[in-house]
Amino acid sequence: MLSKKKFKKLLFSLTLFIVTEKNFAAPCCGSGFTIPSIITSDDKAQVALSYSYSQIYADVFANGDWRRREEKDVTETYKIEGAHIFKDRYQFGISAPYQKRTREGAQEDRSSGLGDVSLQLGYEYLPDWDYNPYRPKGITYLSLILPTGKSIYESDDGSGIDARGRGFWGIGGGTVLTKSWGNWDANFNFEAHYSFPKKVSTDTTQGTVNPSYGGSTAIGSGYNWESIRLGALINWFYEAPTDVTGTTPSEGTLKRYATGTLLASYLLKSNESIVLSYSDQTLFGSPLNTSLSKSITLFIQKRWQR
Amino acid sequence: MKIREQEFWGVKLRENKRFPLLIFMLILLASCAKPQYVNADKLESSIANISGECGILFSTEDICLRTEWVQKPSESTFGEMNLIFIDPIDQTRFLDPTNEPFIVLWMPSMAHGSSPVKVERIDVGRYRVSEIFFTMPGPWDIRYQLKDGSNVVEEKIQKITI
Repeated sequence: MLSKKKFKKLLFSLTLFIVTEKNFAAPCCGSGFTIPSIITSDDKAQVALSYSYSQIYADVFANGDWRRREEKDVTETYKIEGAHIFKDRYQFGISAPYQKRTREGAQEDRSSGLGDVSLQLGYEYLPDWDYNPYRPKGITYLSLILPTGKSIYESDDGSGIDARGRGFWGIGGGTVLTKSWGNWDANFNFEAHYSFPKKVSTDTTQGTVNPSYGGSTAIGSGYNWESIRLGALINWFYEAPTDVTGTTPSEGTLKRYATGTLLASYLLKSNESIVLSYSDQTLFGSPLNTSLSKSITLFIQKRWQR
Repeated sequence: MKIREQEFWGVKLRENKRFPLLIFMLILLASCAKPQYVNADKLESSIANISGECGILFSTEDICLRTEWVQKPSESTFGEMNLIFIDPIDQTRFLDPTNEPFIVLWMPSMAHGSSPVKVERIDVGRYRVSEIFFTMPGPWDIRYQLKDGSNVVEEKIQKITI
């Protein structure tokens, strides 16, 4: 049997790791595909509120050249996420972001509104009832992305300041694996998704935007001291080229980047935690065709036991 | 909880408490980014006039187009240019195209455009294009179009990098 102290550490590491799984997507064209809010602990429900401040630091062209961004372009995101267990091993979740975007320079402007809402359905296919020292806990999930945020293809003035979403219906699936050894914990996430084509009509273009497949892989680890956890994570993202047919036909270029994240978490109560994280997209991977940002996120989560 | 000794790429780990950290550190070291920042002068040189005897030929109307930058755009400033339509045989003769000249700023790698530009006729065969602004740095297409209503009759593309 696990001692109460060890159980608390285990619970802490399992409930907080998922904070590291947030997608700090390149903010050029709205948020990317969102990793769902998944319950990885033994709780029956969780709700989380987060605030994120993200600033574009550089742009990477399709040929791999980097350019430091001169004008300030900031995205603040307020997000509410929730998940609930049903039928013991199934769960559903929802994530709804609200974004404020501010850009300085010649086209100085600001915009705010709802981003893309996502729904998730999860199933715990690898339970960890006996706390096996090697076998991880595994949860698989399906996601549905609703294009509730205005996309750059529907931007009122074409400047894209009001682009808060990708603009496509999307479906995805993936798996989360978690494991703890003593004070250490590790986590792994893989997801793949498909975005559906969309017809667009603006002052400058009429036609169909054809996105395609994408995916991400994340690996992270953390160390727990009583009520404190320090963790790190790298998340690699890939999006296949987006082609356009119509009045402005074009073939896109693949997009890829990696996000490195450091986290400090504190367990306020046995069912409440607060996390401060710093994410940087300029440190890892071999980015292509994307804007790279640096972000700070504050995250508060409350859980309900079974 | 007793944890057995195990081997990882020849390294024996008596306790695997540091195992996740070891893997994570290896991945971290192997995946550091290598930024190659591009020179701003190199980018500005890609924003050139379209010149030559005919410039570019719109074959559907048999008319040539030359362009002259009045103000080159940058990441933080608007640009302005002149469009000059001329006869391909007598290049001193200015002509108005039959269809409407139109310009689209398009970022093909990201599959999106920029804010619309303003095209004004200032004289026979001469047009002023203002409010040229690129919403983000990177490679862009300037698409010179001749349009009949919403139908693009012919299009020529100039590639630049902001």
